[in-house]
Amino acid sequence: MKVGYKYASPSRCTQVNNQTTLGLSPDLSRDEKVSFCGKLKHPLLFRDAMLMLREIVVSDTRKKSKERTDYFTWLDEEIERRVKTHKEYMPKVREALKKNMDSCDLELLHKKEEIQQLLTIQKNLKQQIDQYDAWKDYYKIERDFWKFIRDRDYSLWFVLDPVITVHNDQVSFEAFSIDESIYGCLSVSMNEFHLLQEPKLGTTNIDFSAKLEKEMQRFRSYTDVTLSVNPEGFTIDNEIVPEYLEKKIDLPETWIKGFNQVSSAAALSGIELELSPSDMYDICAFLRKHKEKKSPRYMKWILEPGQRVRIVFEPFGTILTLNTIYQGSQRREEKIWGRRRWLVMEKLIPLSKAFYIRLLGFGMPQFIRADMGTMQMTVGFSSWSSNDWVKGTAFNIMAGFTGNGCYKSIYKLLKEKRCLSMEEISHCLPDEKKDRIKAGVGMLFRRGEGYFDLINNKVRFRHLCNTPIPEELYEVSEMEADVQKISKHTFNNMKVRYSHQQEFIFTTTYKEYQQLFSTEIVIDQDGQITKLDCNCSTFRRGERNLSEPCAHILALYIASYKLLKLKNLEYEKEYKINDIMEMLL
Amino acid sequence: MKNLTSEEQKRLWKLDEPPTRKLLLWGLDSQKNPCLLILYGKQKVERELKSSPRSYYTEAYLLDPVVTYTRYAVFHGINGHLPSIPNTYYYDEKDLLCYMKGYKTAGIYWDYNRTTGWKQRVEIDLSYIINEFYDIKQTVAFDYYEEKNYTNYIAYFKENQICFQDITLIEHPSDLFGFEADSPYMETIIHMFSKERLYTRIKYLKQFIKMQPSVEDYNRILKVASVELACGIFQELTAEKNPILLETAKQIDKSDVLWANAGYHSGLKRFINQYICLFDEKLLQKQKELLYQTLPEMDFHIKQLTLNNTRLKGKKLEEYLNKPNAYQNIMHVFGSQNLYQKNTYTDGRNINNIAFKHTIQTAKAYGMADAIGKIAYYLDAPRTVCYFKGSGEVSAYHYYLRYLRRTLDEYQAKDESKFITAAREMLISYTDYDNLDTYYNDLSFNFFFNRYFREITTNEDTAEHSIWQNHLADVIFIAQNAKALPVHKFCYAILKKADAHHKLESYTIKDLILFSKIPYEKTAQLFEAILLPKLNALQEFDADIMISLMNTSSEKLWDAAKNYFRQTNGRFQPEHMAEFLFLDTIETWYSILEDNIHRFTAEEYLRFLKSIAEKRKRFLEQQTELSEQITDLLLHSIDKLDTVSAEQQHDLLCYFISLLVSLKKLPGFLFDITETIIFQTPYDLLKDTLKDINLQHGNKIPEREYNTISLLKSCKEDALPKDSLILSILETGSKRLVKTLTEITARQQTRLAERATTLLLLFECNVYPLNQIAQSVLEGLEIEKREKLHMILLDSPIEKAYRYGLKKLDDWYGSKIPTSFILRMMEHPCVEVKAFLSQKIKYAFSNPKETNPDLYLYYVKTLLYLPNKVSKSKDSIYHSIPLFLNYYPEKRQEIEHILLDIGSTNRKIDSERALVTFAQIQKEVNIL
Repeated sequence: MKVGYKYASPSRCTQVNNQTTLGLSPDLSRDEKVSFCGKLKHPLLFRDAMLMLREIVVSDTRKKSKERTDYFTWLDEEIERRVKTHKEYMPKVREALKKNMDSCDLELLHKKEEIQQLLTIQKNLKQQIDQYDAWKDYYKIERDFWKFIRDRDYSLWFVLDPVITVHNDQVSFEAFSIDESIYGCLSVSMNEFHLLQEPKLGTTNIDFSAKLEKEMQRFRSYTDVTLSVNPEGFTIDNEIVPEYLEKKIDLPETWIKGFNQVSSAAALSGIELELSPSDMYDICAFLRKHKEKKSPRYMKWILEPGQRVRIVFEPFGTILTLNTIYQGSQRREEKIWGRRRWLVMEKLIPLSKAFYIRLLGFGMPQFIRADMGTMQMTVGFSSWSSNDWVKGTAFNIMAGFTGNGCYKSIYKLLKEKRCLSMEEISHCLPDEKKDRIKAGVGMLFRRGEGYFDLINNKVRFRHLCNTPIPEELYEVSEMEADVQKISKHTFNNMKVRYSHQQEFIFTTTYKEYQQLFSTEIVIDQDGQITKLDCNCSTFRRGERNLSEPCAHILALYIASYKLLKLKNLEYEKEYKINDIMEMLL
Repeated sequence: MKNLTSEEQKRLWKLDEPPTRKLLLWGLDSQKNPCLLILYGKQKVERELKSSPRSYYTEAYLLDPVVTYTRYAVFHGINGHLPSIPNTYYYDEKDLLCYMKGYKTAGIYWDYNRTTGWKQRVEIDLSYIINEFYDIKQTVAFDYYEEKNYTNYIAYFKENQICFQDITLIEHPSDLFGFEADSPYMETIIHMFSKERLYTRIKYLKQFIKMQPSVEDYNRILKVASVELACGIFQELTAEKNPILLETAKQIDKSDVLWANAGYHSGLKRFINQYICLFDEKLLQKQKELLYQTLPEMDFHIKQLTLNNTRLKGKKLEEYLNKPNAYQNIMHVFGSQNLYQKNTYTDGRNINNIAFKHTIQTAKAYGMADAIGKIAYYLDAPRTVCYFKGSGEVSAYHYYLRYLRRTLDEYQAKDESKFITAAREMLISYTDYDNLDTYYNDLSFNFFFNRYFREITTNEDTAEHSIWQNHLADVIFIAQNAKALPVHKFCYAILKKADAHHKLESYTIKDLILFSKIPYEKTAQLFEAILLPKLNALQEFDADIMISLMNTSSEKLWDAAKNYFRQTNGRFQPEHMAEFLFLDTIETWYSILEDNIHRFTAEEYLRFLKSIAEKRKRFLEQQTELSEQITDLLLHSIDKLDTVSAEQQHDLLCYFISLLVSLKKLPGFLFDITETIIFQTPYDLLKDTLKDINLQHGNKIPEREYNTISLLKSCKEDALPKDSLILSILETGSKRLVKTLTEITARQQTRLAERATTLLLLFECNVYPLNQIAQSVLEGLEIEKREKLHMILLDSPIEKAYRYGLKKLDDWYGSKIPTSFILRMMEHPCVEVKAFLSQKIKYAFSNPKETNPDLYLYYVKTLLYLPNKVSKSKDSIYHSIPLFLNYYPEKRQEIEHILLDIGSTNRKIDSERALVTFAQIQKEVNIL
């Protein structure tokens, strides 16, 4: 999606005596002209949190493919050198032979020499032509260009500017890493500010350059730091024509869709663990010291009820025992990949009172929330570092955010109220069914007009882009359509069994194209999927876990989620849908 | 068959299925609305015709002359208007009548039955089946080949007392159409209203219009006309630009009365609007603009494509589609994916046929030949053909093709200039990816190219006698702009013949040079061959010709240019050299440019510089961008100014400074030249020159100009520039500005002592001499001022600045660092500073009143919680904790909590250190 940002000036930090102003230039092409001006109570905390957000923005854990240009240059040179050596010695051999040859051979030799000369001319010509080859140094020039951009101005290099939203109760900064596998959201409570003017609510992209980062490092407790979002920009000299800074960016679809998936995943339930700073220190210290060179590269969290949480780091097999005690009722093991991304949290260890980890299950993302008092940092990690938030999983479907629902009413309501919980939305729209409300909220997320606040469990209004998102980015996907289509048949053959491990085992069969597909999912007491299976080709072709579910699994999950409140089930007894309905009624 | 009589020849039928004959009559229904009655009857076979009596195969049939009409259908009109004549299909197997579209789009499947075996079944969509389809109870039979008029049929029905459901037949057409029975129009009108084939009806309509009927005659027709006929009338009148029905059209447009259902009526309104707009200049212009604006949207360029779950977009998609047969390979995706961007003509997936048709018809109606040509190109491209075929819209495609073909044929026959305009637009649009050389059995692309242009490329005679021979300027234009090889070949074929007849020799040398740049080698050579003898004949040097020759890409012409230069004893003036900068091939002539610049005398060089400056507007208009090599040459050449006299240099400076202050927009390289000329001048001379120049500028100006002028002001006034200016120059300024800034700063060192922020800027910048100046100023300051600045320096996040600050701390204070420094550094975010501070932290408590315990805790936490870093520094911190608690016992609980927290970690070294410190606190602090 191509978007153009327009800033009145670059964001800048100005310092006059003991007054420091962090001036963020908002995007002028937006309808809502957001503005804010407030003095920070804890500038150091804000500084370190913002620097950490910056670290997320520039983080890139993708595997870098080796550029073997040097090797190939060497290879070419080596070939040429050997050719030269060969040419050097070949005439001598010929000379020896020549003695034994008759006059015909001599003539032949002359001819060969002529050919040789022609070849040399050809080679020289080729070299001359190569000199004019426009592509000759392309890769080198491209590398140099990126290096130059990186050295000169990070803001040009990292195009995915964060978005800042001014709410009634907080100011939030949201960003994605370059590889789009880490999502960060810093929520700064209004209590953190002495407001200097009435804030104008809204969202904007901010021009968060490397230079600004450096300037923020100058924040000190003995200076007054003011956060200012001013549509008029920040110019140093009055005599200069304000040159609008315009950026034309091809926003990756995954970036836009990623925000939707993060919100959807945040709305899913999972296990929440409270980690002390020392626990996080332990994890980061281990990761700093040990760099794995072979698979497996996951860390396995062993959660035993009433016991301290243990983490096994593979492939070393080292076990860390944390101070945190698992309060759940059932033993479980959670494998987490892309663990090195957790190092972005290390800056916040000294500043945080506690870290709250939300694990959503195997092959699912994780969220870490750092509680810093008036500031909260939420960091979401996708399932794997090689996966962005969009690849594979359809969290919006799992969370029940499918279809259009009553999107228009919800948009209107949230634009006015700005922040509401799902219950509050239901209360405000009494005529709408819950399913439609959920679908409407889902559409709001998909259109980038809202996000799920994990900390307060609320839906917040936020316009992600300055222009409406193209329909193809929010239209009902094929997978969603399939799920909606087959959902009608989920209950036909559905059965539930309650196992001794206190897990619900849901099974059903779907008939499609005269084929029967058996689908099974196992959901534990925490609402997490612990096992899943389906004999359809889509599921078989994929990873065969929740990172690549098929429409049958998602449809069964949506149907079964409503039945998790069933109580007093007999162990290992198979209940058919009629029995369940009777129980529910 | 040869033995058949002429009467039998008429009845000969060569198709397998005998024909269904239709008889169309008019009537009024119960609501007095005119309606159509169509009788259907299968014409039977009288006998089979074989090549010999023994032959098994039947070659043809001889039809029975009498057709018995067995069924009939009634089609009702509304609001006094006849319905359009339907295109129907009598499906006798199922004994039903349906619209032809229903039959063509019917689902076909095979069914097995034990008795009949496999049988094809056709499922027609119910919406296409005509319900008012009845049996005729009496026998109705007519000789098909016998001439009969309308009244004969009516008489027959009356005689035999044959009635039809809900229709009373009109006895004479004149009763319906309001014309006298003996009117000269009558016969034409009857045909116009009754012929089965659309194009026959159009033929009679054209005939009617040719008869120049009056407005009243038209109105009589329009009173009962169907939507289809009315559309035809307005379309024809639009094409002829005949305003006769303008008032009637406006009335119909305003009226709310529907002539048919709303969909069809909207079609009529479209034609009426086209007609009305034609006679209103403003509306017409607006319509044309809108059409040109939306024209590119008619191209079926795929914007996104999903193949095997991979989404292709942008460059990748382009690469994929440029492969041979790419569109044929993805036929299945057309109509099933959103391949296009939503626009006037498509919803992203399917074409909006009404809009597409409307544009074509409008373009034709308004005589927009170029638009017709462009649309013809769009329809000719494989992407469009494949779209229509892949999405099952073949009939629509054929309709468009037919429409455009007729239009172009008409242009070709009647209006040559329009044909040339359309062809020009079409030919310059083709690219090599449009499959111009490929012909497939199942898919034929480039219908129009093959029809109008292909033969010229293959047949020399056609090329010689083609109409293009009269439009050579257009052919040359096409050759200059063509992107596809076959188009180049087409142009070459014509131009070659034209050359053979010496038609190209009238062009001037400059034109010929221009034509020699045509990218197709053969065509270029053709013009070269005409050009070279003309060139050899020239005796006088013309720099413009020389420069034009140099600006070609042909080496042959370059050689010719050199010869021309030699034979005419050519010489370039400085103004010509300035002209060199516009050459596309300037890199080739670099050595000549370099040579000439070196050879310039001082006066010539000054003329050269001024000449470049005077051409600034042209440089901006042509968006000329010089390569780095050329810019460097120009910038280095400025050294030549060392040889000019002081007076000349003063004049030049005045010229360029006033150019700068005038705030006229300058091309980038000229700005660089100006800057270099100004700032390369020795400082004193510059200052001296600036005395007489007013540097005041009006309103706000761009940053680059502002920086240059402000620096000149500083130079003139002997003042240290403002911080904002220094910052801006350091960030975005050229090396010349930075050099001058350094020079000014060095001269104003004494004033720097008062400006701490300026000094910090100089410390942090990447200019070594400025760093040196800042350091020497700092080192020369009084201790009090120096301490203040030193503290600011230590706060810097820039590595070299705080490193210098730390180094100087050690140099100046050794182990006795003042507490104020230590306190200041505690908040520093850099690990290096934190580590440095850990060694000195014990001095922080020497003056407990100044120490902020919260700050200490912040520092301790940020250092101790740093995983695997600065281990030694952590040691020092642990050592300092008991000391801190001695001064601030109230913080003990917090410290103990931190230590216990770290003590509980799995990192042995940290855990041990924390617990040891904890024990130490328990022991020592308690004692204290």
